[in-house]
Amino acid sequence: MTVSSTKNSLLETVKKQYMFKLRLYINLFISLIVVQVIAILFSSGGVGSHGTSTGNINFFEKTFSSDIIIVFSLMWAFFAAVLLTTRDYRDMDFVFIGNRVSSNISNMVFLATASLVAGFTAVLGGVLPRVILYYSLGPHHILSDNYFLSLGDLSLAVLATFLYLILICALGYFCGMLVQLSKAFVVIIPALFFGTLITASAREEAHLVDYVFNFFVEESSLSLFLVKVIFTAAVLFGSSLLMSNRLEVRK
Amino acid sequence: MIGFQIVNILIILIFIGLFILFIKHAGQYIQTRVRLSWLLGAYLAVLIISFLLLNIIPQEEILARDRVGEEELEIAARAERDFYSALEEGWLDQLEGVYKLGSWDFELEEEEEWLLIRNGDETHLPFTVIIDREGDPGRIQAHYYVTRTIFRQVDVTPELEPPHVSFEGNRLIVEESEWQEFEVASFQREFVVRQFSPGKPGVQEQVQPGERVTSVEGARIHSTTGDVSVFGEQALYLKVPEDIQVGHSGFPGQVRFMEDLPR
Amino acid sequence: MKVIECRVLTKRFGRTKALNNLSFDIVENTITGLVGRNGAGKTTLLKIMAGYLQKTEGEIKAWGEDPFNNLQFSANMIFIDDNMPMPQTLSLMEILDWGSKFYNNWDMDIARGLLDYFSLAPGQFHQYLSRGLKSTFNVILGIAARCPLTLLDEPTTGMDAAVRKDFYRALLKDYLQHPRTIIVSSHLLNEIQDILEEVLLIREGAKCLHMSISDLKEYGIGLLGRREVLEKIVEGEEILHREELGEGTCYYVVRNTLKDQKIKEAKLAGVEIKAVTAEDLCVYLTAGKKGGIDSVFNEK
Repeated sequence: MTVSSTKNSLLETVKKQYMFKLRLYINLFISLIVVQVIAILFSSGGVGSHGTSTGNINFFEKTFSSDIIIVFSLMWAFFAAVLLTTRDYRDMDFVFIGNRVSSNISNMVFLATASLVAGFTAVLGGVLPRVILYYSLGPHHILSDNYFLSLGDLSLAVLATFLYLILICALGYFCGMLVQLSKAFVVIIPALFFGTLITASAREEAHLVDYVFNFFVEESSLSLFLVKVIFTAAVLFGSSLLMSNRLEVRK
Repeated sequence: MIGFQIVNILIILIFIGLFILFIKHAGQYIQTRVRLSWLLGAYLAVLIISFLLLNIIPQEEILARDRVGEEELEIAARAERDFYSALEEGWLDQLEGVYKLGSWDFELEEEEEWLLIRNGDETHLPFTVIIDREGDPGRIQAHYYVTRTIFRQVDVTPELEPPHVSFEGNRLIVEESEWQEFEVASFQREFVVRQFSPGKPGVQEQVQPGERVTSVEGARIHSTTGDVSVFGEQALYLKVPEDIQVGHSGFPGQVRFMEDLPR
Repeated sequence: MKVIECRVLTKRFGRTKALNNLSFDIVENTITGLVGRNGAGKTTLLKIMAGYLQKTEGEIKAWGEDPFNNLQFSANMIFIDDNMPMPQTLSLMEILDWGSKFYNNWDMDIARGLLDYFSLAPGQFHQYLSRGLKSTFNVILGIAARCPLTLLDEPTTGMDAAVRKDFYRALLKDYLQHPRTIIVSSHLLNEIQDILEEVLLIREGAKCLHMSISDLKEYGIGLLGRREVLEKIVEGEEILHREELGEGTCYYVVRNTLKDQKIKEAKLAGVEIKAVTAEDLCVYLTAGKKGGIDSVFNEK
């Protein structure tokens, strides 16, 4: 037996590790389902309502949206990404063949896949209450605006959600890697985040979190948004990869 | 302010903590692989089926597939404005947008000299009673007219119910129909998509209230969050024989006699 | 052909030196025992060889390349220890299935056979196994992977005596059929010496000796007798161990380089000549202090 007998390219290893992770991290998908089901329950009661009455009729309007489901999915994505950077999950990559580059790349591909699945289910999760309302409330009580979701609408919504999820995954992965470098970041990151929030809102002025937030949320062109997200995710994932090079492979 | 912020953040932190714990341990206690993937598959299946259902349900029945347009709104508003004058001046049949929701025809007992119109409920009735003494002898005819009620640009007139009218001896008893709840469900696009389609109706809710009301002078058009509502007028129109005495109880200021009106 | 070449290798964790100027070669297709006391640096050395840990100084090469974070090397190596992370969502059989997907030389028949022999249910989950069974499963992974370089760090932790014997036998059989380079670490030499060809003994991060097991068995010789007599005999010899037995009796272990004449003299003077087992020798060589545990009590 010599080295040459087993040649493994990076691509091949990444592919194997990725397939392995899809199977291995099935618990993450289960947690996604639970998180989304909770969000669907929350949003099935409607997110807003207002009423007017005239004569002996009370007009009552309930507003429904799947925003909660998407927000919950985004939170899930953040913590799932952080989780992948923790010791237990990183070490798992070296039970079998792999090095850090392959491990990081397969993590990113996995997170992208998870984001796609989460984006798809988050958007469709908003459809379920609509169908239930059709039968529980009756078709005569449904305002058609935004009620229907064509394949085109669906694809746009999934794409937009997917991009946000990727962004959050990249952020989570980056934060997780910082924490792996030094545990001090466990305190520093939330302190910075909430600190700027509190001080700025006390002074009632725009703050860094606002600027970063608006950079994405106020982008009305999909293609520009795509470029922004891909660029930011690439920077975050890239620096995570570089940071992981300062870690030992496995302890 | 800051105290409130801190409480908020604490709640968020606790929530996040639970979240992390949950994600970390989810699936750990679930044993077999079969169950896990079945759960995944079942969830996906439910979601996909609900999407398919949404696209095959009979769409015609959905409320306001075609919402009331600007023109119709103006007609409704004009009808609301002119309803009473048309009714009292006798040109109701020329007014567009008036609906008759109920008609009653009662035979009067012979040589009855008086008629009492009584409110059968304890409550204030939300319509006016107009009495016209030019009816046929020996009968009382009642008509319940409404103008269109449009809520959030949806014509809900067909949903309105007329009052209960009954005749006992020489009493005409008017009772309000049951209190009606009219619930509608409206839907927002996902916030992640809203940012890419500003200006689309119903997508962004920043239309100035009252902006489009001006076209019909004197009409009451309610505009909430970009959708326009017109709440119609309603009246019970009674035709009684000329020679009968009419009294009423329970309608403070709500009964009008045609002959009293200035012509 | 040399599989691993190690030159003045040093590894520091903060201020402590875990490995200190270690130099040795491991030749292809041998079973080497890495022996040393607790904390001698066995695990650190194995993890550096596995490419998990970065060396601090010196040089380590596996097949001529630095093993650290090396994908090519990783495909030819498997590292087994008792706290290796194992998937919690996969059953034992699934883990083996994935092993076969990752490792080109994987032998599924052996894996299944061993799983069956050690009564491990294929549908079981690793985290619910007992400590001994976990170790058993891990070594099955190590054997079935048939990697050109197989590193086993204290593989028998928690196993009972019968399983240990079976495991070493299985390892040896598989090695004979499919020769490869195996390094087994243990603090108990006698447990593994039957299967070893080479022994690498380390002490406090430094190499103590590296030789074949047969050489090690004849490395030292024990002398038991009156102190005054022995002191004269061992003069000029390399003393490996000295023990006071009381009443003027003494036990010396020296390098087995005594001349025949000296041995004859010693026998005449009533000195008992004893063979020293490899196990005992390792204990003497890696003893922390001269005099061993007794010295703690004698100094009182």
